[in-house]
Amino acid sequence: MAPSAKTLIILGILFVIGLLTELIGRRIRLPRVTLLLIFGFAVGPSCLGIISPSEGGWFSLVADMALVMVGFLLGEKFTVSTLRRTGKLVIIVSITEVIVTAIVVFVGLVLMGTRLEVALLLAAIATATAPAATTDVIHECKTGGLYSCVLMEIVAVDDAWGLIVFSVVLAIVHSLSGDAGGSMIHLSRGAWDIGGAVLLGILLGIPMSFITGRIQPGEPSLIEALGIVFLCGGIALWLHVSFLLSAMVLGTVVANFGRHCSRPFHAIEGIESPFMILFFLLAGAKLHIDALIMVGFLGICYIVLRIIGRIIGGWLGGRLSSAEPIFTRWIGFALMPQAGVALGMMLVAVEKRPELTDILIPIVVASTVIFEIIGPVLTRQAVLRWAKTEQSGPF
Amino acid sequence: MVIMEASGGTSFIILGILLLIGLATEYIGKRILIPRVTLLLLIGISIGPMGLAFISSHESELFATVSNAALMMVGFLLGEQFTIAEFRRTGKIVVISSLIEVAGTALVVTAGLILIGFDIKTALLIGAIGTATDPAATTDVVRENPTKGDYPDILLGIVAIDDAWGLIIFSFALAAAQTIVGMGNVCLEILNGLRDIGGAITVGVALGIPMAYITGRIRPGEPTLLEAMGIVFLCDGIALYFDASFILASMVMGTVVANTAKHHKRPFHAIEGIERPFIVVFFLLAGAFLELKSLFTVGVLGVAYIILRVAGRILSGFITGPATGAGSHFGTWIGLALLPQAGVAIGMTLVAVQHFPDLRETIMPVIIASTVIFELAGPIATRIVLLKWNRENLPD
Repeated sequence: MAPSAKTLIILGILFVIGLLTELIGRRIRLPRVTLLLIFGFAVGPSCLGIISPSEGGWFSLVADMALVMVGFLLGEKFTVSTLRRTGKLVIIVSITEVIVTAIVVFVGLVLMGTRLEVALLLAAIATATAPAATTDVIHECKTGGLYSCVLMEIVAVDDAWGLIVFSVVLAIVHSLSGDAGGSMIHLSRGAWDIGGAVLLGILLGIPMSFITGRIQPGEPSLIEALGIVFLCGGIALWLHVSFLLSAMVLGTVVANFGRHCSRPFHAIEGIESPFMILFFLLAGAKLHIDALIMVGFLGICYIVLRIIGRIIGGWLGGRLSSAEPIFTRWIGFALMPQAGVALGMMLVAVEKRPELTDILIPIVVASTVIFEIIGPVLTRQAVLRWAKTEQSGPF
Repeated sequence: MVIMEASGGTSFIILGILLLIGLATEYIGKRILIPRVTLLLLIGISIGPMGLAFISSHESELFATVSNAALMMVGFLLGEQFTIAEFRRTGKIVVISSLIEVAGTALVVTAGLILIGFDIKTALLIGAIGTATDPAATTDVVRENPTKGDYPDILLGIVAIDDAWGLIIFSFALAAAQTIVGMGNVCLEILNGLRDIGGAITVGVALGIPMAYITGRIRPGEPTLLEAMGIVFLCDGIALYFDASFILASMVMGTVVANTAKHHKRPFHAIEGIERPFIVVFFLLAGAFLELKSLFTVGVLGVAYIILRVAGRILSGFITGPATGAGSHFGTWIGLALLPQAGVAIGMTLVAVQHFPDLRETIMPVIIASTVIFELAGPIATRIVLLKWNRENLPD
């Protein structure tokens, strides 16, 4: 069969599966993300084998495209008016969450007798969330509402905090092994990662806002939006800065400075869905369910500690910012999903400390499987409960 | 902070730049006579391996995927032209014009080439290849300038159908050429052609009916895009698998959906929304991979073919006017509007060369060179025709 025929057929099947999950997801209480991951696993190389590892190679490209769009759309949430309403809550909760989760995981692991370095790295990795999965659950629930919005902003911002924490941890780990110069390098690389991303987002955002204002409605919006968003992602990858962050900053700049600013976002929203479906299906195909077996005692501790850390962190953050109890109770659960960002951090950690490979990889891979599949279920519970309260109570 | 290979960044940067170039051509195309298709092709040439080499042959795989996707969508959207209501309005004209155009062009090119002194085999094959038009370029020019009246729709209808007629004539030409040379199986050739078309129709219908059913049952919003993309991709994959014409398959599917689905406009709107970026990248890459060198080897055969094809189109047009009762406004110009030619022609050439390897050196360069010319200049002619029709303010 000609290669392009096979590609087309597989893509077609994937999209149709995506369609089916839409319909199924409406009837049962699992979020679409989880269903897609499961289906993806089912058709993947580990199971039915409809998708072979070569198609899995698309994953990078599709993942990049999907994530860059997610980042851009998340950026839209940070308009000045929205921030005025939610800014304080978002900052306090996100910082608290990150710090508490990290501390809980670190202390817990150390108490269990883990090596200091491992505990530190896992603590940093634990702070990562999954913007794609979380946003997808929120979109699927279609409830709108203040708290869902806050959740999205937290998820967006805490990637930045997570990067900072991770860089600091890497620096500490380095100095622990007596490499003080190395730790400086890590800190500055972390700063470049974040700062460069912000700079890139602004540098591209300003022309984009300008162009957006001058385009008539209709087709050009999609081309313009895609063009600049891809360019941003590509340059970010090339410069080795956080491309998720740069896409977010791009979105924020455009949302705040562009006239007719909603058009590029609408254009990308329209097209985002097929990419997300492909992304989660292919992610599912790559899931290493077999890693679950190797998780071991340490892995289970990590998972449990992260869950506890999230819940406590959310509660504390909510209390500190005087949010309503319904929010405080559930925000920790809502922030449970974890996926690619965590894996990315793990890869960097393993690169720096190859001797930790055998410990870190099985734990992180296994835990992301769990968090990626179950996390969205918890997020959905949180979002639905918030929506119910917001409908009944006044704001 | 997802870790990806460094090459990932380059692909994105290239895609991003291509799309932004496409954005620029939207604006330029509106202000000058050259339609955006030609602009994209020209820019593509300049950034391709022949020019600045910004795009290298590594991207040719991307091109294959993008061109498949783009042509599929074009085919599907063209299928919408054939609703029963539309057919009642324009059906007669479309069918008659397309038949005349196809037959006329083939006749003029074949006869002309024989008169000039080329052998019958070559003349027949090139005559058949001359009937092909490029749906992608023509539709794009039509969409770029929304024009009043029925004629643009008729043009689209003709472009859609004449690929089918062209395939039939090509099969006959192949069969005839083989008979003359005394080899091969006449029946087999004709059967192949019919299989191509019949297979496409079968796939289109087989997938169109479930699609129509599903479309009617989906609420508005995202699922429509998923559904549309999913089934269109499947349709074309299967058509390719069975070696049938996949543009025809998606056209048939589009027609089935347009005629039988409730809420049938939605999948078309969904695909229209997403089509543009693919078309832009498609034409840019097509330009990058255009083999300009072939222009030098075009020779007498090539020049003769180009002139004869243009003449054939125009002459057929003259007959079309009276034959369809559409009048000379239509007839005089329809031929010129049908000049773009690209992939379908090359596809036919590849098949021809497969059967007659000795003709490879003669036919291939000629067709490749002529498609370069027709694809670059053809859309300009189409646009001029559309402007003329618009200006004459048709009583419709």
